[in-house]
Amino acid sequence: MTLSSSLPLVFGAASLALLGVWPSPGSASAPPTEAHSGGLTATPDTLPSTEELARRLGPEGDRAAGLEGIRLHIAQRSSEGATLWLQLLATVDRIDARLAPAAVRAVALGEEGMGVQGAELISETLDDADCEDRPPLLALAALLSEEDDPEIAAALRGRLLKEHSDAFEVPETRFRQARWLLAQEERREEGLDLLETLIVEGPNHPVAPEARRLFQQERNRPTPSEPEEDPS
Amino acid sequence: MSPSPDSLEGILAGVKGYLRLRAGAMVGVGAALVLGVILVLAWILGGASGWTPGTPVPALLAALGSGAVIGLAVWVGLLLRSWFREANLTGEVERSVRLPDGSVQAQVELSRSLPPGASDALARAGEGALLRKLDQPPGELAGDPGREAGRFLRLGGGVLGTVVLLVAVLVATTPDRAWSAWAGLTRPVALLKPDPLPEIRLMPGDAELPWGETPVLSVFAEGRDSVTVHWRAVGDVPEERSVSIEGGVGEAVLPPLEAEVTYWATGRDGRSSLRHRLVPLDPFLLTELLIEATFPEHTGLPPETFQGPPTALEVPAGTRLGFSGAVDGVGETVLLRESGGGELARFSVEERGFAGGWSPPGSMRVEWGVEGADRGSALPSPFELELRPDQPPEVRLSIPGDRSELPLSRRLPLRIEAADDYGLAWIELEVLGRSAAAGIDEPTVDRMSTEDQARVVLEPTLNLSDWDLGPGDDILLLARAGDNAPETQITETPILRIVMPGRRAVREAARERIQEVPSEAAGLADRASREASRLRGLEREWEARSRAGERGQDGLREAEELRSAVEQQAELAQDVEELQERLQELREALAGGDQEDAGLEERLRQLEELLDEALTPEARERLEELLERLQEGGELQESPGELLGELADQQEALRDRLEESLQRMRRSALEDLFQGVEQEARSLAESQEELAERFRESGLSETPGDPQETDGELAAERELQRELMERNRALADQLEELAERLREDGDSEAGDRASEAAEAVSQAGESMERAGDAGEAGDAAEAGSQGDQAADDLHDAAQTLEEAHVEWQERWTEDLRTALRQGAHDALSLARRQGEVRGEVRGANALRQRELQGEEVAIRDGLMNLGTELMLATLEMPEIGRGLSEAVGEAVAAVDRMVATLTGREEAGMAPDAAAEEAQAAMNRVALLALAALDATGQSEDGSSLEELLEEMERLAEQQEMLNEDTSSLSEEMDSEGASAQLQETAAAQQWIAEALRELGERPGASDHMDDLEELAQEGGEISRELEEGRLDGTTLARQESLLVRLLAHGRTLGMEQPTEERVGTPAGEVERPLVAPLPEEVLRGQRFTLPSAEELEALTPGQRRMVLEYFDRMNRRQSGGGGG
Repeated sequence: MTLSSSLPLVFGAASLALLGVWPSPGSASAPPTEAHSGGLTATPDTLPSTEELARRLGPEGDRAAGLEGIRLHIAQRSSEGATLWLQLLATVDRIDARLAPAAVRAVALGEEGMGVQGAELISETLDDADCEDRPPLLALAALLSEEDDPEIAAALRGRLLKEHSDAFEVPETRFRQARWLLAQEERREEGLDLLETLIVEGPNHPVAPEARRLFQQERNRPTPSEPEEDPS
Repeated sequence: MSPSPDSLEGILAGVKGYLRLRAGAMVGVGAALVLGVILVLAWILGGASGWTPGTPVPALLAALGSGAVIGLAVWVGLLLRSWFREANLTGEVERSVRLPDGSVQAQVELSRSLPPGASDALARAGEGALLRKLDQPPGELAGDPGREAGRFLRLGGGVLGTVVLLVAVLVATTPDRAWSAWAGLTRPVALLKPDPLPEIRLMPGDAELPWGETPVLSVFAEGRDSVTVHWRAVGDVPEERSVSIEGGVGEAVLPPLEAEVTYWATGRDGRSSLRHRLVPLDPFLLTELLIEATFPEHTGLPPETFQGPPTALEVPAGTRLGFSGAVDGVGETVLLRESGGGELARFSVEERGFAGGWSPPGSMRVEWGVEGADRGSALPSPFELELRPDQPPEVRLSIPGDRSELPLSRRLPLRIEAADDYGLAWIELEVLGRSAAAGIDEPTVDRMSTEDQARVVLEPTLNLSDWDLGPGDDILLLARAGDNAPETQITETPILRIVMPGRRAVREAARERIQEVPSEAAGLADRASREASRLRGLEREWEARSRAGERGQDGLREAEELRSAVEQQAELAQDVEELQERLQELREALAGGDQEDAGLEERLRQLEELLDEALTPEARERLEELLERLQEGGELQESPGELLGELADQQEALRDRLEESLQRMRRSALEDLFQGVEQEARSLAESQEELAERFRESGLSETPGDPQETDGELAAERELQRELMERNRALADQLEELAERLREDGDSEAGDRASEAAEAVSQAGESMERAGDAGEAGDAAEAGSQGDQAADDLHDAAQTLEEAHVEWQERWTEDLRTALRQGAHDALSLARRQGEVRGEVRGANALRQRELQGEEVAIRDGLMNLGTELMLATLEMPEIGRGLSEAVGEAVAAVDRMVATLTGREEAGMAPDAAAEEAQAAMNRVALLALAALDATGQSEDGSSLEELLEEMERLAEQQEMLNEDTSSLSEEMDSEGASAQLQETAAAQQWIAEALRELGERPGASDHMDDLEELAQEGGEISRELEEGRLDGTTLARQESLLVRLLAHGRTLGMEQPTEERVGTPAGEVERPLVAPLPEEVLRGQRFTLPSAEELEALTPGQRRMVLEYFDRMNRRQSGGGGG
């Protein structure tokens, strides 16, 4: 099948799904009750469950159906939740099918406020994962655990930066890691170094302006050892 | 006796001699000077054409010259005489040696005679003393005369030198003119005499005239104003009459002719004409003779009347002659007879008059006759009657440019020229198609009435676009013309044969066109850009005039500008359409070809579509409407300013769409070049293999000991080898070009592989050369071996190219996928940041809100970077790029609204929380679109399932083939034992295939082929039932065979659909885009995309750099509000 014939279908599904993630002003927090994807109408009752998704996306499942299921979930969520499920969609695109179920379950746990458990679930799969599968999994695990256990998240990010310095996730991971380091006074310099590396290596990266802003803000901030000048 | 030089007399004589010589020289120089001047004057006055007889100028010049020389001589003589007066001469001598006045004179006188009482000795002593003082050369003693002569000679010599130089120049530069002018000077008197006047001529000269007729003479006497005409009748005295001549011609009337008359004329110049004789003839019996010729109607000639007896008549065949006249005397019937033949016509005389008609049957000499006339009556002389036959028409059929191939447009311009002496009734063109596949068609004849025109030129265009012609087929053409004669005469041209270009030629043309399209489209975009700038300028000018209150003052100019703008736009649109049409022509010419042609056809179709997108139907309609209104002079609803703005928008939109397509076109061209060289390398390799085989076969058939025979057999192979070498050289050039373009495109790896292939092709070329040499030497075995080597090298090159092609495609796809994946990730990264800001915005104090503003600005900048990143990645997929660009634009707008809510600006119209939610959703959307595009560009699952389907089909076809063989064998052994059981087994096997086909149709990914497969399955089931029922005859076997053929055909169809390894460039087709409102102007305004840094640009290849710069240019143009795309 050529691209020209497949593209309209893919965009058709995506664009319909988008209707659900495009809140009108003032209705941002009201989750839609129906989602449309690829001509199907889904209600919360008909949404594929986490396990169903895990099955579909697993080695024995129907991957296309699994991806469509994720899109239905995205369409069901507010923008914040949609971002997480989009991250899942981007992740399963890059990892082996046998790792996908863990990612699905981890995201579901994260959504239920059990991000650390989700991160652990992912971490368990890392040993079996191929080298190229690890960066997206590490990044996902770090994101899931960031809120509940920043230390775990920092460790996961550290591993990603150390072992996979060429991965897509590196700039954002550097930024987040730097932000975590800057919050700890004794590791502030490390954080600044990380930001500097990010800015120098990817001056036009989408995260770079944010890194630049943070870098300048932190550099101008007086450290506790440097008492603020008395204005008088 | 001359005086002694030692005496005073002698000295004076010496001085005189000196002065005489000087005087002579003066005359000589003066004469030469005069001659020179005369020569120059003669050159000037003689003119380029020389002297005309009768001119006095040479004589005057000669006289002037002679006079001047004589005058000079006289003057010199008088001067000499003055100088020689003794007192003058002695005075000059005394002054020369400063002697007292009169001392020399006195001594001279003493020397002549001593006065009485004077001492002779004393006188001699005085003379001696004087002589000693005068002992100097005569020139020194000549005094003033000597000096004057010297001055004259110096001056004259100088002028003479100049004149001589001038004369030499004249001779050198215009020798003919100079000699002609100067020759005239040698015979001035002869030139004074003018040329004799031309001779006088008289008409009718010697003639016979009816008795009593008044002769009228024409006198031709050029250069005279009058002549005298003389005549003398026999037995009469001579008479004369002066005749005035005007314009060289005069007329003289002589008295009625009653006897033989001699006449002549004389002029005042003494010349006279020849003498002529006028002889009176007895009167004709027939008078008032009138012949009226009525020509055939088809000649279109009006009737013509001849008075008096003719001497000759030439008329068209079919003419009817009417005769009328009177018989001056006795006569009953007037006859016309053929000379030496019978009677042609007779006209009875009634009351002296006669009349009648006759249609001459052919050319002949016609005599007159009168029955019942007096003997000896004079009749008019016989006359020659010439019948001009009606000539058949002439017709010529030609093709401008003398082409022998049908253009790819299948529209053949023709030129038919036809002419006829009296008129053409019609012209027709007969066209006959000769197809290898369909045989010879019935001729098609197209006739056109030409309305009796004598000459017709037609320039029709033969449109064969609907004819089912294939490459190599030919067209036979001939033209016919029929004249308007009652019995139409028809002429036809020789047959012209026009050949359809061969498939190879069509392919080459298609490939060439594909390579040209990007530059042509770039040229069109450039024109649109220039026109848009011009229109914007006009729009501003109009607005300025409007503001200044000058609106409408120069309505004519405005209307003209509008008309010109619309016409320019229409012209540009037409050029786009023409480019499309040329592509379409090629595509149609390729129709029905093999897979290679199908690929080219598809590529051409894609280019057509890209061009079609450049000019939207709405823009076309609007343009047509405007053109129509302007041409009809109707009122325009819009103001000129609005219209100019609209036209500028359209031009900018056209430019943007063309520019968007450019990269795709370039890639398509590169893709095609890749495929072209790959296919050519394969084709060349195959041809070389065949040739090598032929070389070897020629070697085997060699007659031992007969090298001549072998040489003759190898000649064809050698020629073929030369052709293949030519193709090989062209291929090597194409590969070099491909390598260069791939490197320019930033893929040096693919460029290196192309160079590698070029190297292999070059080695193949060397082997081909050696094969050719061996062929020349008659060594067929060596030629075959070298040919094999060349073929191997070419196969290697083709293999390298195929791999490079696939890798190139994969790299491109992988680069795109990587960029989309990264884009999705980065969009999510920004969305997460936006989510974090949203979390903080709730309950943030004013200070924190200001900090959050800064973060939002950073997110906004990050989005801009993301937009650039995605656009660069999707330059060759503008459909995806556009969608992503719009989504990024929406996200930027949402972040701007968020910033506005944080700054508390009214226009935000929403709470910061809601604005943050909206911004995050917009970023999510960018990620979702990027992921969707990633799916679309990925390894299609459908593609793989299609592949599986194809494999299954092939397997089933193989099984069906085996089953057919078994069934066929079984049909021959139906009487044998166990045949029935075998038949049941065969039926089961056939049923199994049918079921397998049905199952195949139900597989996911095979939905498009389900109906076809179901049909095949049904057919298989029916055959199985027949076999089960024990029916096995020719029909069953034929059905099985047919099923196999259909299976194979269906497999081929699937193969065509399958994405091939050498993936044809697969740009996306139409994309359903989300319903997103266009970005508001205020959002776009002021968002300027900054160019990448110099370092970043330097890291790119020139081709990539150009693409990036073009992209930014487009983005910024849109940003500045002028963009229409």
